[in-house]
Amino acid sequence: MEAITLVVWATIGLGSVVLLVGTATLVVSVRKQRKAHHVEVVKPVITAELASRLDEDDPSWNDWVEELSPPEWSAVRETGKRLLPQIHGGERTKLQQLVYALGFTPERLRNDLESDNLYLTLRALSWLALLEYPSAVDTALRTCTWNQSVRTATARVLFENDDPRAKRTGVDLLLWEGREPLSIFGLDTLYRIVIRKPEYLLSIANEKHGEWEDAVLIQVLTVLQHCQSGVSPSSLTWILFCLDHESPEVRAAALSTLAEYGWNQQLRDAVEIEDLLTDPSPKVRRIAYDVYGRWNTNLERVVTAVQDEPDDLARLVGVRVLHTQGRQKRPANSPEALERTWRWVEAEHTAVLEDA
Amino acid sequence: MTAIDLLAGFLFGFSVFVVAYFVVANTAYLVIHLTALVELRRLINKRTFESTYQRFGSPFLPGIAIVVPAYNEAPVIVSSVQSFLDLQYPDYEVIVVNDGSSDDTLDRLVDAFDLEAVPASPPRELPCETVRDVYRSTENRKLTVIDKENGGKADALNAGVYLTEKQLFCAVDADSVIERDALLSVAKPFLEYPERTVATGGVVRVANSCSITEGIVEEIRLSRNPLVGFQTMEYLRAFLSGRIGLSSLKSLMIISGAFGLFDTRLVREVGGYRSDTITEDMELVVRMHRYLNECDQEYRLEFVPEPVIWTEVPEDRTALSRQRRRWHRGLFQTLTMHRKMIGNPNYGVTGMFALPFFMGVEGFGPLVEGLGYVIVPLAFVLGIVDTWFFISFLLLAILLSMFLSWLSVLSEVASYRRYERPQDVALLLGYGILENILYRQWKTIILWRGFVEFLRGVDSWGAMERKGFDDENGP
Repeated sequence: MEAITLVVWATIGLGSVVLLVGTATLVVSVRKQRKAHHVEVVKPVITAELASRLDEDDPSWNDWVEELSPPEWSAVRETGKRLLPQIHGGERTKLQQLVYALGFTPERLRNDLESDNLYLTLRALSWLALLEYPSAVDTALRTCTWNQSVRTATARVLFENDDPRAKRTGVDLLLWEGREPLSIFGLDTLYRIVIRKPEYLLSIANEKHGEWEDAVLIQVLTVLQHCQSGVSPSSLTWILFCLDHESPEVRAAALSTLAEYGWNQQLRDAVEIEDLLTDPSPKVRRIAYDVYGRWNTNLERVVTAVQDEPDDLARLVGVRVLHTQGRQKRPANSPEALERTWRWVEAEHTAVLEDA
Repeated sequence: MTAIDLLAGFLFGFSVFVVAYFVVANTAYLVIHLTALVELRRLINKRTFESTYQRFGSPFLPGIAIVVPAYNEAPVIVSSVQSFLDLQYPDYEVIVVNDGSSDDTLDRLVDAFDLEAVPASPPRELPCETVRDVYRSTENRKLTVIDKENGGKADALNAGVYLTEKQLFCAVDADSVIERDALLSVAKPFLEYPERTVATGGVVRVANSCSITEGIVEEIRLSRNPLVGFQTMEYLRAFLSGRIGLSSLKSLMIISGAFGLFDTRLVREVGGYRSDTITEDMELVVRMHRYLNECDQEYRLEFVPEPVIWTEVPEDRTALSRQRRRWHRGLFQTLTMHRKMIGNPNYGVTGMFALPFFMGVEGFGPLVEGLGYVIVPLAFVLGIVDTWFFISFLLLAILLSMFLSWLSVLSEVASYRRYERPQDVALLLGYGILENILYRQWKTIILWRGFVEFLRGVDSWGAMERKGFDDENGP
């Protein structure tokens, strides 16, 4: 075929495609605007109707749902999903029945959970976290382990359903092989699961922390910083070994975690906090200043350390610790960097006092 | 061989080169746009599910500093800062850096937010021009203002980047308004992959003709000013197709200086923004790619199409010409600075696809096009190029340009729908046709000028006259 013929045909072909794209764009725009306008009109009516039916003993959801047009159906679904996490008791049960009437039955969710479509599965899991379908939860536990985001969402389902399997299976699902760091959603889920009962997490951390990727280990240590009860100091001894870890991020996270349990003298004695004030990593020193300030009343060691502190942020933390602990007199003959930091922290301190 | 034969040979050869270049460049664009469509479909699918947790109640969300460099932004500064202070995010601060403005930017901030000077210098030496004062707002503790000597945008950004103690910082332009949930949206990749994400960017949209009250975009309208309309079309194409596609191909080289979220520690590690560049945003991103590749570190640098920042674009040709020439000079400057990476397999996709694309297509593309506008018609007039071939090729070029533009409009309509009214959509499609007549040719002249300025070492920024948002213009 000659070049000219090729170009002419390409032009005609492309012209047709462009026309098609333009027409499709306008048609989609008009249809979407109509739909949006319809939803805007029906939403207040639907919300009011939903609220009124929630007050009734028998809301007759099935009859109502059958009468809904597609935009109304979407509005009800959106409203239901938004309200479910916010309400409790009898109203929540009624709302769950509405979701059932909308077609989100255990059978449908089970089918979606068994699908290999990531977003279909995640959507089903996000519904399941709001509903109480034990049989579907069992399906999730059996099938939803093939991807980390799916495992995370499954662990969340266990937590949201108050399923007793959350504290072991949930933790296992989240940490899996200790290779992939968690998302913030995963981190939050791990935290919610273990906040009151961290024993299982502590026991597997004790056993497996050496096998985990550093990023996972840091995340577990971060979560443990927020656990407030049920932790026996003996279950934290493995964290002491992390203080000698080659990664400064791990050392810093370990020290931050131990700081939260510093009420235990035995644990506190096991941490060589003075040595950590001279750790080669500024990240570790930043935490060390803070911990030293919390654990000791004699702050001379911090005063000496901040004088030679080369890292700006670590010096700032150190000076803040001194101020918080009432040491407000600037050390004599301080280097310029320390003078500067000191004046800044003084100003911060004054502003806080004025605010109070 | 006569001079005429030589000229004819040259014209024919160049015409063939233009056609070949056209095929290669447009194939690259098509790949990027079609990849963007696939990615957009995935993103829309992903949007249909939300993780069931209360982000605001979680103690793990990273803190963010919004860093706002401001130079002579008096007409817009109060409205913009107000919009930054009203964002929905649990842990953030706003650091405005007054970069030695000669207007009353600082005074307006002091009055509007009850600023008081902190009676101390910053706790560390900031790598920027002399800091005159640091102010804190007594009415909103989230707000800090650094007043410093003029040193340029990069220098101003560095002041904020090195002052903050937040894990992430978001660089935004002072003449912009952020949608309330935009910070949470642009942070999503950091929440999904906290260990790997190093930077994300959101969509910049055109605020001209929109109605903005107290830092909130109340009504979105498409400007009837053709120059603004053409830019709106360009922004749609660049963000909803170009960046989504490039991000999905791991080739995102630009995170707009108007709206980008970065890992503070990493940016400091690579040395912060460079003051000796004209397009500091692109240079930083390329330098981050370079550093992370050299460290053999796994990382994610993503474009997120949902969060939106609204910004004023130039309404006259002089300001637009100045802006585009600067962008083009900056592109070549950054490519020259990091030429070692171009075509170098040690830098992975960045070296083998992204930078060659930016050099060959984004950089030299308009220049070749500009030459084509002169030489191909000449060849046609001299009878070297066949009439039908010339006409068909011209039509094909225009249709292809329309196709890419209209695909972006379709993406907009099918996904985020900020332009809801069908008449605005029709107008956008119209701009997609009209930009090919005169505007596109004018732009090639401008970009040629930018290229020549780059060769001559021009490094001025130029200024843009701010109109101010609705509520600051007065009745």
